[in-house]
Order: sequence, then structure tokens, then C-alpha cells
Amino acid sequence: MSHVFSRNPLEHMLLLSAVIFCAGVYTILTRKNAVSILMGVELVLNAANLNFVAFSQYTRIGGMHGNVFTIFVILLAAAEAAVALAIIIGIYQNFGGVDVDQADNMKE
Amino acid sequence: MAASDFILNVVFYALAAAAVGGAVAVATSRNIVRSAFALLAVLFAVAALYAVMKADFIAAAQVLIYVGGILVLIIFAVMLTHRITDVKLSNDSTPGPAAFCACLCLLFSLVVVILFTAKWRRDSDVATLNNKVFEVALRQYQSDGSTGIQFGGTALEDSVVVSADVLVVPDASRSVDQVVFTVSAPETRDAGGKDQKETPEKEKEKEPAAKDLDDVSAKDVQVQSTFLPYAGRTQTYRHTFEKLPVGDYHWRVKLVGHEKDVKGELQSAEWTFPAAKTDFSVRKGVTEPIALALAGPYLFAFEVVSVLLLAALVGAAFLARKEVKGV
Repeated sequence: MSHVFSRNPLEHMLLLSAVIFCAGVYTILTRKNAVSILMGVELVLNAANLNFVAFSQYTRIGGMHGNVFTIFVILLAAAEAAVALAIIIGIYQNFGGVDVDQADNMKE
Repeated sequence: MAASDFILNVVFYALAAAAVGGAVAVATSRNIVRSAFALLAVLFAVAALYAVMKADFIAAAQVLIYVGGILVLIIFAVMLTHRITDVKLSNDSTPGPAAFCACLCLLFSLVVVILFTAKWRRDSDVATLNNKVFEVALRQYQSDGSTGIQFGGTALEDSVVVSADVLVVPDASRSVDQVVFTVSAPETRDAGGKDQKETPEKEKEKEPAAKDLDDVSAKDVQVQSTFLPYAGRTQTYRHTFEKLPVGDYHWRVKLVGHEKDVKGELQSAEWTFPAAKTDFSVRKGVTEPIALALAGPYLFAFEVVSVLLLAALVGAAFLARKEVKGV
């Protein structure tokens, strides 16, 4: 019975967040579009948040700290999304597109 | 498996399927608007998973900030940077078999680490997984016609839940009548014997809470006795001990029958704290502890994050203010 969620909730949550994390990493690695890369980053952050909350709720080790860190991560993701939106619009205005391959002026 | 457990499992697997499907759709969809809506599904599913984990405040914050704020920002970015009509060319992705293999290797290593880390197993380690401070360590048949299991432990909070999974055989004549939960005070455990002699004032102040339903000796702090109406299946019985002072305690879960050899089986017993419980019946929200943590030890970090958020918003407004000339 140990493979059922209610018997082993922590490991189920960890496996689920591992899958979401890998999907996010794949998105970051393969996309050229800056907005899609931002979505991949959000997936990775959500996977990390799931781990935080799972460890905080299903173990006695950390107490409430995992939940508090999740709050911080959500707030920082909001700030990151705002700045990323501004940067993406700047790239779009300057390069005529949002493909990150085009914005390679720092190479030269 | 209880009905609430069944519902919990179904809900979890449905939400997990939605989250994984949405994440894969975000990673693979050619249409960026479709990717954005798949991300919406993922965020909602993750919020519901927080609710499954009883982190209610986190779930609300997830819906409020992620879905209401961040996803709207992302969709704004999509709208502002592309003509929405030709979304086909907007979400090009490099055909990365190398990236795919790398992600598979990453996933494989993560799964191996998760599944084979012995510390997360529930076997014997104390205070690691799932609040299962005590697992079945010993199973003994006592001479007075009862099956008992004994634990020792420290009460860190004033309220402790003791629960036991009990399998009762259908043979009614030799079945179990009661499940008795007992908490012994530290002094009486040190005394060890039947007699109780020391610290009478402490015994006195615990006395009003004590419910002496059984013939368990008076040294025990509290006794809960539950009748077993069902036979032939495993049931979970629990009792909450309130207002325990901090200290070392001796717990006992006992199956009592009227015959000599009780045909019940104590499958597991555990000792949990209601603040972080995992079962479906008793719930206590996570909002108040988060508020206390944010207003207490995390106050400085909270203010720093607030200032950072303000700086990020001002910086974003500055960046998007006008077209930057001459790169």
C-alpha cells in the first residue's frame, strides 16, 4: 500500500515536483522565445515551492519555515516577472523580436 | 482504506495529472498562447495541491499572485510583443535532443534520489517523515488478554494526537472490545511499578482532564477507550490529548478484549502533532503560524523583500517608460 499517495504523501509530492522541474528545465533549454523561457522559470519555481511546502507539511524538521520560504519565492517571482516583462519589451523594441538569439550584442 | 483516503488519492492523482500534462504542454506546445494557458492549468493545479497539503494560505497566495499577477503579466508580454494573429511563428524552439536527454537524465537522477533516500523512509527513523514519530517497533501479546504497544517520547506541544491502525478479526467471541490510549506522566514512568508515590501536586492538576474509563491504573494521565463496532478490516482510531505540559511521556496503545487471547492485530501506531497532521479528519490551517513567523523571526527578511519588490516595480516602470535609443 505504500505506493498510494495517502500512505506516502511526501515522496509523491517530490516525484511530481521533479517532473514539473524537468519540464521547466526543458522549456528553458529549448525555447528561443524570451516569454517562453520566463514560463519555464515559473515552472521551476513552482516545483521548488511544492518541495518547500511538502517538506514543511509532512515532516517535523522544518516547522513553518518551508511555508514562509514559499511566500518569499512567490513574491520574488512576482518581482522577477515584472522586471522580465520590462526587459522583454525593451528587447522587442530594440531588436524587433523576442528571440533571445537575436539579443547577442554583448558578444561583440 | 477509508473513504476520505480514497477521495484524497483520487484528488491527488487528478491534480498531478493536470499539473504534469500542463507542464509538458508548456514545454512542447508550438503556440505560445496555448503555452500560457497550459501554464495557467499548472498554476491552478499546484494551488490545489497546496490545498491538499493543507497549506491553505499558500494556496490562496498562489492563486492571488501567480494566477492573478504573474500569469497576467506573461500574457501581457505575449500580447505586447507579438501580433496575436500569427502565433505560429512566435514560439519557435530548437529541436534539442541533447536537451531532452539532459532533462531525462536529470529526472532519472531526481527520481533515484527521491525513491532511495533512506532518510525519507518511514521505517525506523524517528521524527523524519510524515510526523510518524513512532512506528510499530514491537508487537507483544500481554498476559491479561490484550495486545499492547508502548512508546516513549517527548511532548513538544500542548496537544498531541495518538492514533492506531487496528485490524479486528471477524471472530466475535474473541474479538477486541476496546482500544485504549494511555499517556503516562514522566514521574510515574520512572517509578515504574504499580505504586505511585511522588509529585502529588502534579498529579492533582492533571486530574480534572483525566477520564478513567477503564481499569487502567491511576498513574496514567489520560485514558481514551473506543469501542470497535466493525470487524474484519483495518480501522484507524485516534485520540487527542490536550493541555499536556512539555516533558517526557510514555505512550501506550492497547487492545483489550474479554477473552484471554485477543484476535486483534495492532498494525501500527503513531504519535502526531495536530499542527502538521497528514490525515484528513483533523485540520488546522497554516495561516496563523505563517503570520507569526512573518511578524517574528522573518520580519527583516519580509521588509527586505518588500523593498526589493518596490525597486523591481520602479525599475520595470523605468525600463518600459520609453523606447531606448541607440543600443
